[in-house]
Amino acid sequence: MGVLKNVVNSVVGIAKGHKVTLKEMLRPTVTVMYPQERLDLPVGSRGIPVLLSDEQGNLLCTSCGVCERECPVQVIHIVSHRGEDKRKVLDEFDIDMSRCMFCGICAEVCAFGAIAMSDQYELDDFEQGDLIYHKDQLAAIGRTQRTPITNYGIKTEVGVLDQVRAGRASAAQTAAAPATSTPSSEGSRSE
Amino acid sequence: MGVSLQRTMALDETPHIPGLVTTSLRKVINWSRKSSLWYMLFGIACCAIEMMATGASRYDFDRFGMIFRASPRQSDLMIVAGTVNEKMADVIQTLYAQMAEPRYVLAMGACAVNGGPYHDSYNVVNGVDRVVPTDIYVPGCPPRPEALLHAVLRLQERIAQEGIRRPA
Amino acid sequence: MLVDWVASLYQSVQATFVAHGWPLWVLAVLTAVLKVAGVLVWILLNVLFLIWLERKISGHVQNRPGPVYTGRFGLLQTLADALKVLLKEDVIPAGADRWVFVLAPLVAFVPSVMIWVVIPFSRGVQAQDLNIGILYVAALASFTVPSLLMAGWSSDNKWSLMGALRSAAQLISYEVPLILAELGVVVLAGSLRLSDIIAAQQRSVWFLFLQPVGFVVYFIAALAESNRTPFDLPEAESELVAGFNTEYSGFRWSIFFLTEYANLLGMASLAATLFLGGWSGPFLPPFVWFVIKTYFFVFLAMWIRWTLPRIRVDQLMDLGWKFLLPVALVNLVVTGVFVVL
Ligand code: SF4
Ligand code: SF4
Ligand code: SF4
Repeated sequence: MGVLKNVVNSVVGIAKGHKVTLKEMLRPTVTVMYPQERLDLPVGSRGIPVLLSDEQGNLLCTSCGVCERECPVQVIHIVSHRGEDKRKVLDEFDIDMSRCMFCGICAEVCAFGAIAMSDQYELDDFEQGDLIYHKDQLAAIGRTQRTPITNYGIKTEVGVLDQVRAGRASAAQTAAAPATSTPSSEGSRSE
Repeated sequence: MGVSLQRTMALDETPHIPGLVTTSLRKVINWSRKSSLWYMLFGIACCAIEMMATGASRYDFDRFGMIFRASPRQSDLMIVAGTVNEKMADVIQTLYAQMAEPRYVLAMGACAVNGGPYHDSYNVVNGVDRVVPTDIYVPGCPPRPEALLHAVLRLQERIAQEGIRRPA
Repeated sequence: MLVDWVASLYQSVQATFVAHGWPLWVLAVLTAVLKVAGVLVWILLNVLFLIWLERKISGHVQNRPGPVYTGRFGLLQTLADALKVLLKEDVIPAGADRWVFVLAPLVAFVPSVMIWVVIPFSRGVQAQDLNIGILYVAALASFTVPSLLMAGWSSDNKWSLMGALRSAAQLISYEVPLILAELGVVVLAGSLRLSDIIAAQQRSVWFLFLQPVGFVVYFIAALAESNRTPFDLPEAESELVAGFNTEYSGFRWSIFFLTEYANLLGMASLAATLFLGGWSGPFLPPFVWFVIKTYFFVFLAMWIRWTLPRIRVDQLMDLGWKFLLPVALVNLVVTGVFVVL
């Protein structure tokens, strides 16, 4: 009798499982078709930290260096000098995105609201060196801000990161162009 | 579904993979290579969770023809997801050597890119590119699944431009 | 129609041969080659489709779409996979037993093609109507064991060997109930010939209704024979990397993959022949009926695969020896008594 009960139980269990999978098979998919659509992240979800500017397009950052000191993985690199009026002028502001943890501490400690977490995250690159984002790139992303700062985060325009990256690629190409033209002219001379 | 979506492209706009519009041998071969990038699971730390999420229903690697193979002999792409410590570095090298050409390596997460939060610590290799040649880096701690997908798409674009025999 | 046309063509060609005094064995060889080619094309096309189907079904069971970007609905996905796999580097491990390693995929693949010799596709469309059809199929099915053992042993890899040993144990234990279940059908039909079995079903009803227990036993054992989840212990990813084919790459591995699906297809078409009356059916052409019934079983196998978890080794053996075997025996005895009365 025990065997029979076992058999019946297992058959019922297996049938239940198949009912569930059949039901799921007929349900619509839940997949986000990524390249064509993406999840609308709430403001304050953390992408890369970017530099914010005022209406005139000047960076809000005062080069105080607090974020550089507080960053747990020390990926912020700031160089500044004293200008004519004894105010600090920001020369370099690099964030090494390859190690940044998107913890948001830099945005949290900044007393001037000059840095915020954007919603850009598609950071992949073929060279590690390209993962260091410079002042202009960070500012360019920051200038596409669409929402007020909430929870240290802002929303930026979709795809702005790709544009910034494309800009860098074209800049690199123009820089490389004169260098490559020289050997080719030499080659034509030797013919 | 309980999620809000942003449309960035028309849905029927095929993003990158041409169907049968193939003109030359090189194109056909590259099309086959990029549309079936079978990846080897190499989840060695927290990033692996995000890699699994990418393989699961919400993001679905299988859309791009990517399925995971447990054996390195049958996989094309090694997704190194997590902290590479000194002990694991040997294993990574072995498994990379066991993969059959053409093979690609994707470094996922700050740890795999260059040590991440553990950069310069006593036991952690500063990036998987110190042990195996790495094709593409995906920073983030951990990267979102979309970031990983974006990286894979860019890798596919690059594969599409390769020669029949990979440049060494 | 088509069948008659082919038959008349054959007769006229044969007449030409006789008229010119050409040796008839040339004709025999030619027809054999054509038949093999036809079966191979049938298997390859179906496997291409089956793999796509498997990925789509697995996707939809998990609420995701599966391949979508490679061709319409991802239909070209398997083609891309096949091409890529063929172009991949072919690795033969340094410690491998070279010849055995190279031969193993062939030993696996050839029987899975040979099974198709006796499967009736439609009325009179059958490569060879052997009078021992079922015996032939059962004999070929057990060829999987040596091929997997060869693959596992020659790879010089502990996972491969474990996978091979597991598969040997599994296949041998499931062979017995499988054949006993087939015997139930044979007793009812009174013949080992597959066309006779179909004819017997046309006279009475589908044997599925006369042999429900036999059918269940056959289906479970056949799933185990074709190494599919929940019986895919030989290639359990979570324990054995990829089991017996861990060390195979590129082309050789693709043959194993092909064999797996060819076996699934063979199992399904045999089930359709034995229990659902093969190609017989109303309204539609016989070949369409055959395809429909075969794909019904294929779908069933895939549905099961994406529902049930893998079972343990001891559970596998328990199920085979302590449950399926006695049930199949009792079924056979009851059928025999029923037929004699
Ligand atoms: S971003 Fe803020 S914290 Fe950092 S240097 Fe500028 S002002 Fe100071
Ligand atoms: S988010 Fe965290 S890790 Fe990244 S730069 Fe800011 S403080 Fe550093
Ligand atoms: S990058 Fe961050 S999430 Fe990924 S493995 Fe390292 S610590 Fe974990």
